[in-house]
Amino acid sequence: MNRRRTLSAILLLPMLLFMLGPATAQEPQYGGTLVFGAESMGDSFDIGFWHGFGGVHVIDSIGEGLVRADFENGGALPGLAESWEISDDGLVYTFHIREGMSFHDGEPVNAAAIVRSMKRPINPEDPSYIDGMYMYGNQGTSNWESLEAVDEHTVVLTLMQPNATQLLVFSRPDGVIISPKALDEYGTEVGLNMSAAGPFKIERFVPGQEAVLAANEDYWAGRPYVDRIVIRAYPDEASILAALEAGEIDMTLYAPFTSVPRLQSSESIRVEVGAPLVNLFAGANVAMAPLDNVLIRRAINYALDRDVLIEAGLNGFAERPASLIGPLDLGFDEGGREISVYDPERARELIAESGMETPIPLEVAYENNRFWPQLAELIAADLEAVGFDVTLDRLDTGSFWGKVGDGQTQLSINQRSTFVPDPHGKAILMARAGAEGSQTQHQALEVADEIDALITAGISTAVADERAEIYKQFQALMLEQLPYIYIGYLTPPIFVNARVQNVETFGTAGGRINLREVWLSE
Amino acid sequence: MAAFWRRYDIALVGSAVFGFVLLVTVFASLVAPYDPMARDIKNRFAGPSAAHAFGTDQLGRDVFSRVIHGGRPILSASFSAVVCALAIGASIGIAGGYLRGWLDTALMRLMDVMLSFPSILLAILIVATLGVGLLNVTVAIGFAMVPVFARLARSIVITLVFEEYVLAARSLGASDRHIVWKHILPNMMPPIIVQASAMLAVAIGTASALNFIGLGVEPGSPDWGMMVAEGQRLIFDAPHVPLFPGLVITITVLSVNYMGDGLRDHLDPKLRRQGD
Repeated sequence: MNRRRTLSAILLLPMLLFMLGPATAQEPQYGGTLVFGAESMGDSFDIGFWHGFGGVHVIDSIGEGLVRADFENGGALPGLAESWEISDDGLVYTFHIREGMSFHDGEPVNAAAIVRSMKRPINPEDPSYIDGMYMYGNQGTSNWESLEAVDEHTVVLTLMQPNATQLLVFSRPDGVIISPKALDEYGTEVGLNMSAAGPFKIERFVPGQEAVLAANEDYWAGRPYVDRIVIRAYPDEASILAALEAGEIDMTLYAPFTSVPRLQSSESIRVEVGAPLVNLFAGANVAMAPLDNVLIRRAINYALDRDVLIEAGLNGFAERPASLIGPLDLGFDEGGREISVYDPERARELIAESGMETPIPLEVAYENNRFWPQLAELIAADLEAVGFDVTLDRLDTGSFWGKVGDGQTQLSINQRSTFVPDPHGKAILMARAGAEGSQTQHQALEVADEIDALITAGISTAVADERAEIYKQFQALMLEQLPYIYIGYLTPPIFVNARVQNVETFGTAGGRINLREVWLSE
Repeated sequence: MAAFWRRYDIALVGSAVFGFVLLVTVFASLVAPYDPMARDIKNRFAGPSAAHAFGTDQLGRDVFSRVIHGGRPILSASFSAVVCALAIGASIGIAGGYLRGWLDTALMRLMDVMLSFPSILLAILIVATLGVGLLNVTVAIGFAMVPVFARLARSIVITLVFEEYVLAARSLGASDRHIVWKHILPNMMPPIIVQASAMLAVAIGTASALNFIGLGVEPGSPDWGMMVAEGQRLIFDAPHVPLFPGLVITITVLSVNYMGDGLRDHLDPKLRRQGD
């Protein structure tokens, strides 16, 4: 009997150790410094302006708005507001603010502080007000009738018109609440001295180079696992890759996709795949020949071999496209995938039907970074195969957007990633306002008003099913007119050192890294 | 012959290598095993092999064929730029050095201003003004080199005008045109040719650099500078893509430099005397 017990114990012990082992290994650990490799680092973190993605990563780490975005399931999660109610007519939002929170500078987070910060872009009397803080435009301030702190922990926002995206936009980087003390003390220089209520606080900032963030011990959801985050800018993909492989950085989104197969076999680096939140497309300038002809736009659509573009241009990190709305967005219409297909014969027929003489001269503009040059070359080859004479126009980012803004590009390839999980962020590209500075110059479309009406309807309707139907109509119209020709839904690789655990891949894929719950295993 | 080889060994090797590069470039269509633009997507990033001596690039194109074709834009731009710069610069130098006076002062101050800009910066400025393209790259490189030839030509002419044969010709009533064409020009050519060979190496480097930053040939075209630029992000994953065009640029510039050194040794009477 004793021998049997001993034998059982010998057999059970390894099983117990096996069962306990992984559980112990997966237990989150506190401490350590995580270094994130960014593509840029701006000179300020003023949320009223765009400072590149490096700046967004810092703001997302130090800041917090009334709500957070739930990228995985859509919708909003509690942030500084622990709960909220929206009136039946969709006009009145009542936010209940958590008690006991404080900003990084020790000031209490209360309703008055939140209202003060939210009114910054619409109150020229505020000492921190700067004329032209364009990023705040995303907050929908022009539709606000009133914003009040009704008591210490309740904020009431009243809209003039219902806006289905209003709640979610508070989760954007430009929705971050700033300490009133910082706004008073630093005025227009508050971007260099940001004090917010997020999980990390700025410890050191070297403009243009790096930001060192320390864990906020008083964060309302509990202290983040890592002690410190360094967000450091690197000049190009090759140097980011070198730093990743040398163990100098722990995480990045900006290493070359071409390195993935090699890195996947590395023991020290893990590659995770992000969700398809980013839409890649070619914007056709419909105000300029030959793209003012819908038959030519359709010909381009059928000329593109998406399988090759995704395989060779994006190293397989994309899904085949359907339309402007993404597969995780409300109202996504799978049927679009049947239109965004490769059919060169159909493309040639459409060109013949257009009556245009071939080869048709066409300029393709793109940014000279990341995968764009490779994609542009492949697109050019596809277009030349069906009767276009393509000139590639390789531009730096500033020149690209300058040329787009002047309406001087013909076909320009780019992307759309929205900072909130809602189709409006993509649909708004086709709004009449701002059309003249867009890739598509879609004010020239005959159906421009119809598209605009659908966009307005899309945000004016609170009922999800009705909204979904509106966005389906929107997609059908877009696929009929094709001001954008779709390349794919990017599923970007997220490069992490093997010691980095619990990486949230949904928001990260859209450029919104969430380092609150990341921890280091050593 | 043995003595000649001993004296010019490096120069001869340089000339042979450069001659080979030139020949391969001129007859690229006959030499290259594949169409430099032909894509083989399934065979991307293949390493060097019997089928693809230099491997394949990010679109499955044969790197060897692209390197063979890739010399054309750079070498044609460099040759044209140096020839134009020599013609214009030497004319300016002769005019200033022979006629002297206010014209000389004005021309040389202008050359000083041009020389004060780093040549690559001046070339970028010109391409940025004229627009992207190989022709504009040629113009830019040539323009940036004009003052080098002008300064050298002037300094030679100033010395030559006091040579006895020039003074004799003048005293016999020879016209300025006759003196320049028959007495000055032939005697100033050796150092000018040596300078031209040195500037050719610089021009190849500059043209590669301008194409590297995207100011020259159209993206995707086979060109050494462009290939290095496209391949730089692959340096850790497919190093053969940027390595071979980079290596060819280095070998070409080195061979032109060695060839120039030999020309200098051969054409400079003082050095030739020491060697004899």
